[in-house]
Amino acid sequence: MTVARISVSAQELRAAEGDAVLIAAPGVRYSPEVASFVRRLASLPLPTVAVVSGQCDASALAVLASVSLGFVTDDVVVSVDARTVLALGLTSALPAALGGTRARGLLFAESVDATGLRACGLAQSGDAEDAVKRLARPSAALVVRSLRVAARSTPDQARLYDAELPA
Amino acid sequence: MGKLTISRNDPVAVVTMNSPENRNALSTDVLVELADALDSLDADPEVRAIVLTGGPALFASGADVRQLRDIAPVEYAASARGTSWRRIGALDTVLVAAVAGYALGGGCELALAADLVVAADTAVFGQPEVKLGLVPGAGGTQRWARVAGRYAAAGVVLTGRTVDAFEARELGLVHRIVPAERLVPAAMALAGEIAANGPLAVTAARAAVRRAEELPLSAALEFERQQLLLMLTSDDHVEGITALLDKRPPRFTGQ
Repeated sequence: MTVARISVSAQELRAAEGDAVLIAAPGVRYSPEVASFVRRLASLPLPTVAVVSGQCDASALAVLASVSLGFVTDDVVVSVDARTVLALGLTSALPAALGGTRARGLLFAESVDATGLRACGLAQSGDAEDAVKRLARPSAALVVRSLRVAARSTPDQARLYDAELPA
Repeated sequence: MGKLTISRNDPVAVVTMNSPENRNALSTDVLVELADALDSLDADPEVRAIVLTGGPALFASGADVRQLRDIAPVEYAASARGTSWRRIGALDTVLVAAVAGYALGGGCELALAADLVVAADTAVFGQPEVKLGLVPGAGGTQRWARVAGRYAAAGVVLTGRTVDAFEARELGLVHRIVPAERLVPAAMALAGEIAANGPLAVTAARAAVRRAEELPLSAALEFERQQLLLMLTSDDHVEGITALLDKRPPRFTGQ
């Protein structure tokens, strides 16, 4: 079992090898590099765990919505600005991740803290290191692949895909 | 058969394009070799369905652009490319494309020439010819329009953008998406499912479906009706219905 430890960098993500990826995301703010990182996260066939901390913009929401499991530190504060929300496609990504009502609660907030992120379900409670160890196994990777396909398939199409995944 | 490998598990044959050093580029030599191989399988009555694949990593990256850069129109028109594409389009045997990774330009047109496309979730389709100052020349503009409609086709062909397996499925090109490592087995299973049906009926139904691309509706409906009348003269249809009534699997003879 190996865990790749990276920062919010598309280049590091491309080179990441192992059974799972642990991402440190302190003070994440929008840039083309972050946008590229988030797009690549969404197609990575490996379990990913992110720990977001510090003063962030809405890019933090995109990172948390794109990983297998997201965590935040108690000091996190996410400011939610429309420009970043739109640039990262969060008006579709967050409702898909959380449901429409909870997503709107986040999207219309000026800022969200750790309590709010955990309460809406975007961030997990508990320990990220434990989570990444739990996810660094082949069966978790299969679930990640299945989830990725299910997000863009009908239930029947997703079941047919799952039936072909290696046991 | 240098750039292709052919395996048989009758009634299904698998043709694998095998030149990863140039991403399965469809050079003239490869196209001719492919047309020869498919023609040969098409003529074999033991083969009822063919799977065409580039393996679990990539399908085909299109024409060898170096060949196209300096070629004169007259030379291109006289080359074996056009004939090879027509031969591939004229097969009678069911062709299932199993696509992983890139299917671009001629690679995409090859998938479009198939009856059904099984795609890995890694598959990417596109007609990037306009980005090179060219247009698709092996059915890309016409078959995209017939598969996905004129506006969707324009979105793909005029921009040169790529579509992933999921969008290709929404557009009607992809029949089923599977994990890349199960691509060929899944395509073979689909081909086997088709091959288990009445062979005459499959050939006739395939011909009728293909006529939808060529004929006005009234003529195509007449063609379909003629195919049904032809099937009513076959032993296979008697066997198929008898087997259903006897609650047993049919034993088709192709007669």
